[in-house]
Amino acid sequence: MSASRAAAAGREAWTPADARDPAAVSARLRARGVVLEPDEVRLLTELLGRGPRWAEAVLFGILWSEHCSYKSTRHLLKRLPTQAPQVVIGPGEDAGVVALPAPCDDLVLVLGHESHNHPSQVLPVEGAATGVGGIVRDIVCMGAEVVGVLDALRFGDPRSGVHARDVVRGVVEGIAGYGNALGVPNLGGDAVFDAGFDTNCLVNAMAVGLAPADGVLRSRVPEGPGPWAFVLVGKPTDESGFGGAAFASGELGDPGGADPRGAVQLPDPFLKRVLNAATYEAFRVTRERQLACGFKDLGAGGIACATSELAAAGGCGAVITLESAHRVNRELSPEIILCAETQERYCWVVPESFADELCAIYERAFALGDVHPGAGARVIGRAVEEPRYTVTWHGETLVDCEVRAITAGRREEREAKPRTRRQPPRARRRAPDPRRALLTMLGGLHVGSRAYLYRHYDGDVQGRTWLRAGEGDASVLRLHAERPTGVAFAVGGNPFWCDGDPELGAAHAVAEAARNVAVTGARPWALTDCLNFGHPEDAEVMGDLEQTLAGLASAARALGGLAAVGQPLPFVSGNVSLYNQVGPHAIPPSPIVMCAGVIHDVTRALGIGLRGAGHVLVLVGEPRDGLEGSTYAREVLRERGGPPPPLDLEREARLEELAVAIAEGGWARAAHDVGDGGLAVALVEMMAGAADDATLGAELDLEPFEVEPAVSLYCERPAIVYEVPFERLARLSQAARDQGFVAWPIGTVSAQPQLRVRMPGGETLTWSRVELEQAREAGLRKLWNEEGV
Amino acid sequence: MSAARVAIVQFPGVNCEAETARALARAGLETELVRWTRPARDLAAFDAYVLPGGFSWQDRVRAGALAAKDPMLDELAARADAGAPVLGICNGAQVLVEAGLVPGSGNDEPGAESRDEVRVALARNRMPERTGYYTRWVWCRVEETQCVFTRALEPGALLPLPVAHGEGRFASAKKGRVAALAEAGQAPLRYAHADGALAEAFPENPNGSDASAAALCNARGNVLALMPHPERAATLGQVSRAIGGAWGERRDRALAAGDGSAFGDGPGMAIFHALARFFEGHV
Repeated sequence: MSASRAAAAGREAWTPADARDPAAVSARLRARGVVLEPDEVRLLTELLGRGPRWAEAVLFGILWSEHCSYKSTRHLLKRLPTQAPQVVIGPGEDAGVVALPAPCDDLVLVLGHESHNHPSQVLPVEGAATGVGGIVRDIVCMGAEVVGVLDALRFGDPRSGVHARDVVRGVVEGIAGYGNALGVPNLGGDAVFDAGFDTNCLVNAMAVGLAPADGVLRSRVPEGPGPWAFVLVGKPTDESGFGGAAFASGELGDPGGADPRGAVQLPDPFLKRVLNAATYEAFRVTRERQLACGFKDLGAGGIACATSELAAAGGCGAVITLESAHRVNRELSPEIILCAETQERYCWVVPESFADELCAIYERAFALGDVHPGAGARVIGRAVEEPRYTVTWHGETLVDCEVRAITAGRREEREAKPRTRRQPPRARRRAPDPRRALLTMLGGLHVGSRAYLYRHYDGDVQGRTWLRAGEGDASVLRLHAERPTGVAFAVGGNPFWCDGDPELGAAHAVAEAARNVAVTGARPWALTDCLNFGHPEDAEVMGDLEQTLAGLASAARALGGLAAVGQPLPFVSGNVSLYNQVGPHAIPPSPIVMCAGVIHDVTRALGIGLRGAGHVLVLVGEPRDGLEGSTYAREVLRERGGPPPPLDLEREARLEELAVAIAEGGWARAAHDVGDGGLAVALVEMMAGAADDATLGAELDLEPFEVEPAVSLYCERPAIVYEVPFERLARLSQAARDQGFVAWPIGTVSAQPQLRVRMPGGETLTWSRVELEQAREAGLRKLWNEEGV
Repeated sequence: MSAARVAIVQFPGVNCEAETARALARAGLETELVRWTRPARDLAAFDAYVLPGGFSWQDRVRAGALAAKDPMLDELAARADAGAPVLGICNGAQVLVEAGLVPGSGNDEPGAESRDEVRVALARNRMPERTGYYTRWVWCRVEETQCVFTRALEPGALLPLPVAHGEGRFASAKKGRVAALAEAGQAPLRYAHADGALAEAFPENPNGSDASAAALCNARGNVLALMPHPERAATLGQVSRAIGGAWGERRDRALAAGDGSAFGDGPGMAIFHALARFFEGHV
């Protein structure tokens, strides 16, 4: 490495005198790819008491980016409930940690949720893959083994152009290629298509892990005298992903910016699989020897952020000798080595006496260097008592500041105002053909089958999977081969509803995720979220965001009772993704929520597929009384906008309590949430979930509903359909009454492979299972197979 | 009598070693993970070998191609020649086929030059209107065979198992070769419909495999290349709810009973129990 390069990184980026015109400094920095707002230029000069070196300017530019600092939202996020008895570690670390009930109380569940929206829009395969890779590292750095991933996807309208379609295919390829090779089962998620995401797709990746209850690692230098060594493990540092945080904190296609593709990281699931296996071995050894350790993944800001935050969280300082870091065999400037977002790396803090042994696990027992040239493990620094963070490069100082400067944090006050919403168009008075209406909806991308998509994903690897994507309203894992306990996962978030009413839409997102978990028989246990929004400088975007937080909070406060009576359902981890906007059009407000649930006995988990002819179909929930926000209104009546259906959170809590009681009592054979597309689509999906050799169908009688048929068939207010053996009907009905609900017998499971609906007045409508399946499968298959525009 | 010791052979990128070990332990077998960084001669001390699924060496060149050249495969070939059972699951099957252990030297074509010549390959899935990796639970029909891993099962019996791969199509340059192997009893499991009829078309035959072969073994029957994943079907209750037939009925009955019987053996355990039974006669 030439001395001149080092000198550049160590040279002053601006002088205190320059800082008197912070706007000019800010503009000059931006031209060099460093983003610091004018007031941040002033603040950094004050914090350091001098002009910063270039390496310091790069570091603080990343630390204070929206992506890393949450400066526009951190204070607002305090509005979400995060405390409950089961919470071990709430938001603030890389992932949240919750306790599990006996007999799995020796384990904890680790939950994380990230977005990788901007990278996936620009380079869909790599962007989505590194999204999975990043969230997996967040789980592992808590000391956990990763046992599942989920993904919530929001795509543009494929009819909008070739790129929207290529984004869909690329994102799915990226998720599949990474997760499958890593050997982590995909537990589902959801996918929505809407023109509002044409220029900004959303890729939210969630991951779950398991750790011994006494084996959780923190991202900090441990207490005690040490001496502590910082050990960097994994891929050799290169220039990939340099500037990724700034990229994620601005608008795509910003004309002043460089080609953003260089800021997208490069995925390597093959190396990651070996790196994780070696890390799990290191967990085993450090636990066995009862060694205090700190552990953190390298994400935005690379070595600089990871090591400085480890030191800051431990209340001490650090000296990093950057030239010790293993890196690719070509010349890189020191600030790039310091801050690049090279994937597949972690940083340990271990007793110095253990450092060589730790390196040997990675370099010899797992021979990382054979797997990827230059990969390995190196001691790159040590902790010091004085709270000062120093980075040197061959003896020259690149960074030297008090740790408190790093943790100072930033807060950006943003104006918020409620958005003026369009009045929803008045309902047109026409009666579409009810038979064709169902096929139209099933053939669309919104409620069609997701099988074409999820069959790209390995859902069974690791052997714990009990209910897979498409088999239940939530996916279920059995936690331990000799115990009955399981965990369930589902996601929620309807952008159409959030666009119509951000607060009510957000409440629905929580309710939907929690209800899906409860329908399978699991108790909603904890939440994660990502808030995907447009520019924070836009007051209406901030208004949407504040309303969204209100909705998430009110629903979470109402729905925690199944884990701990009288307690909220806690948010334990989350993420905010802003700047999902090009020009004046922000994406629809898009909170995406994951709910994790706990089921005491997985053999009680209810799937959606019909099981046996002669069973009674029972509807429990809110009345079928309107078409607000329904898929039917959008796709058949062609009405856009307007609010979602109402949501009574107190009744929602009782509905979920009832759902868990029904599953635990073993009173039903199948259960399905009435969601997108209403009761008719729910029944079609239950038929599709039947066993492959079964010729089962559903007979539905609309007479008892006393509303027009379209409303009973397509209303999307919360409800659950159960398949109940006749002899269990009385027990289930009594339980429903106890919770203030009526269990409506609405039909039966038939031995005819068809959906038959008896309309009020006696006319019947019939759809064959084959025609329903063909319609459901058509949308995504076409999306993957059509060429050209 | 000490339990038979099974080496779980792991190349980098193999990712199904933990559940494979659990399934073997469930069958009463003792296992040890042997990583690629150990010397090949360490393998000599074991009674049987399992190559689990995953992406060895990142599927570089072709799935299984690089691992097939590892010195460990020479050791495995020698042990297989001595009669030791060897099971390759998914990527492990790809390795065994690439290394020529399956279908093996017992089936040399007239004019074939050496065992290294690849006569049967696991080619890319052939699926209408889709490409790449594909996952699904499928039916596998047990065939009349001398294969160590299936010979105790009744011919015609059906096992529901999950497949998850992008290159699982047993194929040969010479037309009819896979069918001839099946004819000779070297395709112990073949893709079928729920009613037991052989599945020729997608999706029941999930990859377009010749002769609907889900697995091929060597002539002696002690080396099996199996594309589906039995270790993921070790428990009755975890059998996909899309699966009907006798296994589906058994699963639903056990789930409805709520008495823990759903934690009993799933269809995949048949393969691992067969290995354990092999040693009851031998060790």
